[in-house]
Amino acid sequence: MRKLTLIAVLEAYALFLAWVQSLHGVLTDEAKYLLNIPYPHPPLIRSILSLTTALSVQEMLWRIVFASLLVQAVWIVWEIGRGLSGEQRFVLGGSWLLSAALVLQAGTIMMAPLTALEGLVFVALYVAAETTSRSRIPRSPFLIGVLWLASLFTAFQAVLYLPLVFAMFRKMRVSVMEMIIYIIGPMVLAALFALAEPLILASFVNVGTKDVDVSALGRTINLFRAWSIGGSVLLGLLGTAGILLERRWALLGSLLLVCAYVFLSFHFYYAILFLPLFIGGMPAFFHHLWKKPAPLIFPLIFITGIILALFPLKLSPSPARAVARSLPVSGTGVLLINGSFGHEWQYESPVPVRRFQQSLLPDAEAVVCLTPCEEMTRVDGWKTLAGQSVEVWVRK
Amino acid sequence: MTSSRTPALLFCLLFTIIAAPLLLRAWAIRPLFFDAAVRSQTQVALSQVAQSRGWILSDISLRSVTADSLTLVHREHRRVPSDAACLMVKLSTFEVSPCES
Repeated sequence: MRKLTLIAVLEAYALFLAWVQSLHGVLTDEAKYLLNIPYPHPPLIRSILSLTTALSVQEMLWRIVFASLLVQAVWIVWEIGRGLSGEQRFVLGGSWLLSAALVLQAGTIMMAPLTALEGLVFVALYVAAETTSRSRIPRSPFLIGVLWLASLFTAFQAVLYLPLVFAMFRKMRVSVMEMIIYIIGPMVLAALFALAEPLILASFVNVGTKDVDVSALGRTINLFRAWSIGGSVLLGLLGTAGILLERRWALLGSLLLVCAYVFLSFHFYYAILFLPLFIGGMPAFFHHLWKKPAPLIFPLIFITGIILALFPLKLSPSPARAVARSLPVSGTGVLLINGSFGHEWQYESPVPVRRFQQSLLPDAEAVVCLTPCEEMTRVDGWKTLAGQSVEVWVRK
Repeated sequence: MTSSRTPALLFCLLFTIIAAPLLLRAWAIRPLFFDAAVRSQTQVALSQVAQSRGWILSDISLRSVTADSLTLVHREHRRVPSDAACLMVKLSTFEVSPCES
């Protein structure tokens, strides 16, 4: 009964986080996954999401599912804390639930939180393999191989957890041939998938060169931002210290890979990739140095609050959502957009979206000008739509 | 002995099932990997086709590429089902024709 109550409370927390994320509407990356647009990640999750495209509640449905998965993953964190005292395990679970990365990213329909969740499963298996007697070590290379394959086909960045997977297989004493089959095989498939889809290769180049103009100092600051958000500073410090205290080389290897990845190409949402690694390191710190860690929760909440104030969630509808809701469209024409735009316009628009060309105006029902459309002032039969945050033209 | 190898064999089977269509797809566009001229012409052709029709590049999927032409499928990513259009583009002239012709 107590466990059921706890599950219900956690679910209420997940619903709240999903609701908060829904206020702004879908982001460009979320739209990419919901509409199964084939880049940059492999198709496992986005093809599942796209099965529900026709549902009017598609966005909210997946926000709830993703938020629930992340929040209820605290039960995995509970398992990672096996061997600790009750207080230490509660603090470990609370650290997962109250970290800035989880608060900011649970409820987003992104691949990074799912990758972090898969990373948490790898951390749990790795910690179990490292700390329990050999009879309790998970002994199914096949299942770990399938999880590794699924992770890589969720998002390529799952490769950052390779040291954990490798360490688990070594602990299980599987043959070199089995390691090749279960570890290298899925990586070969992921590479093959990238080769078969030129758009993915093009997006790799974009990601790789995105921060090319950012100085080493700028990259270091970005890395520090992601690291800070990932563990609300405190979990980063405790987790890293724990990893070093017990010389958990696989966790350290993954941590360094995540650092290198964020250093080379920063995205705000990579912050959550740190979190499972910090959680994996914290039990060692508690075990050796902090027997009564309950006071950690208060500064953790405080720092998470500061991070939320510094990087506030968007709570008002996006321009795409606001415009789509007020367009008087009949559904027969197209929406022309001038200027650079994200996939959220494709998701929100009730009619097909095209890049603005004056020659396409006869087919258009509306024109959105994210950069000024001087041509429109000289075209008869069009008027601006008042009350929008962007310039919108509709037929008179 | 045989039973201990079964999971690995099953995994190899899974590997083959996933790899086969990916290899076929990569094979159909192989000139992109080996011929810089084809690669650059393909890039220009895709941009031109997309720009002239107002298409979004990510709605275009390359089906095959040869030294002379490419075949693409355009399908809008929307919340309602949309029709796909198959086009062939000559890489020398960027002349566009439906796939049937």
